[in-house]
Amino acid sequence: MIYFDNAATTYPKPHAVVQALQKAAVRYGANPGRAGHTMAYKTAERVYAARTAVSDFFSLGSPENVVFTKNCTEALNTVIFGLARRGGHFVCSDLEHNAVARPLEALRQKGICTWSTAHIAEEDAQTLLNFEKALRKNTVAIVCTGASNVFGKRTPLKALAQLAHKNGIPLIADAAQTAGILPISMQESGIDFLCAPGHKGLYGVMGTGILLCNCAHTLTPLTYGGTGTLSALLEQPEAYPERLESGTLNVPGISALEKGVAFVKTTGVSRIFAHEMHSVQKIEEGLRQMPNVLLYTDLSESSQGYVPLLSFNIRGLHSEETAAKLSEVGIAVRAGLHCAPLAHETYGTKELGTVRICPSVFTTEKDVNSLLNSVFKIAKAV
Amino acid sequence: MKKMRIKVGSVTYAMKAKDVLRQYGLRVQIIKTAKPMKNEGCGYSLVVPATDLNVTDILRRAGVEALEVKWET
Repeated sequence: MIYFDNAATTYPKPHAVVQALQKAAVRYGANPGRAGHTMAYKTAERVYAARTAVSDFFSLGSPENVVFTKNCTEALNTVIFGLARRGGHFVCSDLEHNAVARPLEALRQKGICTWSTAHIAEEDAQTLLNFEKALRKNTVAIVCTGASNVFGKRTPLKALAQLAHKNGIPLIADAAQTAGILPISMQESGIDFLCAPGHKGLYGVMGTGILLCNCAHTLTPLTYGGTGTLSALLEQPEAYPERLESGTLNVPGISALEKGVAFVKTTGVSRIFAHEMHSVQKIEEGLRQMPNVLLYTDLSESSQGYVPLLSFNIRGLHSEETAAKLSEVGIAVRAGLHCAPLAHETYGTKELGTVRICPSVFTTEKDVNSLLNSVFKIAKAV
Repeated sequence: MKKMRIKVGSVTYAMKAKDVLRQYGLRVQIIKTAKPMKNEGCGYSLVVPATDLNVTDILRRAGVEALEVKWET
């Protein structure tokens, strides 16, 4: 199989990540932060080492503000519902994934909050103006993806954080497509809450996500329950990360994530970006020369404005049909709406969806050529 | 030898305290808080060997609050 579905989850995983999973199951089998026996402490140490690795990687400066979640969606839900208050309002971009749009819509349907979108324009200055116009007196936060999961378009998060702070509200960033692909410093960017999956650009395994808290807002928890501390109280403890981490943690996944982060750090974020962007640009260059192929972005013009992924269609075929034909020849891609109807609406592709191609650090020149040859055959036969 | 028992807010803060104090050459042991207060329940404490350093101040500057300190021999 040739795998180009890395925007959904990266595959394969580095060897050290797979090894860490097994090691955790064998050596760190106790519940961390609960009991006082040796294995429980050793397990808690592993979890704390992972918090420290994540905190260092994103220049957060406080491991206790690294919250482990089961995925990026849960992290986003935790912040959105954690900040929501009756009569409040959220602003998000028009490229958001349903991980943002659905919690906002649920709040609207319950009559708790309203929300509106701001258009991500080609020029960042225009994008900022769009967000500024969308803000209201009762806006409680700006929520924005770092890059579209369908078209790869990047957003000006640092400038959006400044805009949010000027208006006394926090910025929530969805780093599903940027963590491990672009350098992110919590201290420099001013992002207040960063949500990221562990299993995409950070090369951990599925079932892991992170929420980084970089401001004084105390979130109302999404899940209540056992934290291993202050157990006599029926109220949830105030202190992070336990406040937001009720229940037993995914220790094997967290241990594997630590190794994934180490892999990305050792390989180098800029090297990973360069390798993947080179692959995507080659793919785009090839697709541009094919009959019946529709492209939606131009990476040759402005690769810095995008993360390394692209969408395309073949005229006369639904995106799902193209993906099925590629699957028949052993090529894995993602078609349809990619859980991002807002982005498809913005780009006018909601009816047919698109075929998304996303390489990883493991993608080879041979993979790229096989993909191009296969798409060419399909496009020619239409 | 004198020791300090310092109660902290959670196992995460206990781990952080251990890391911070290690940088000062102190070998810290993390334990479950013995005899926790009735209205608190489970918690974690540090056992720190006697030192001239102001341990609680070091921890406070690192963002770790010492909830209770006890000296013992």
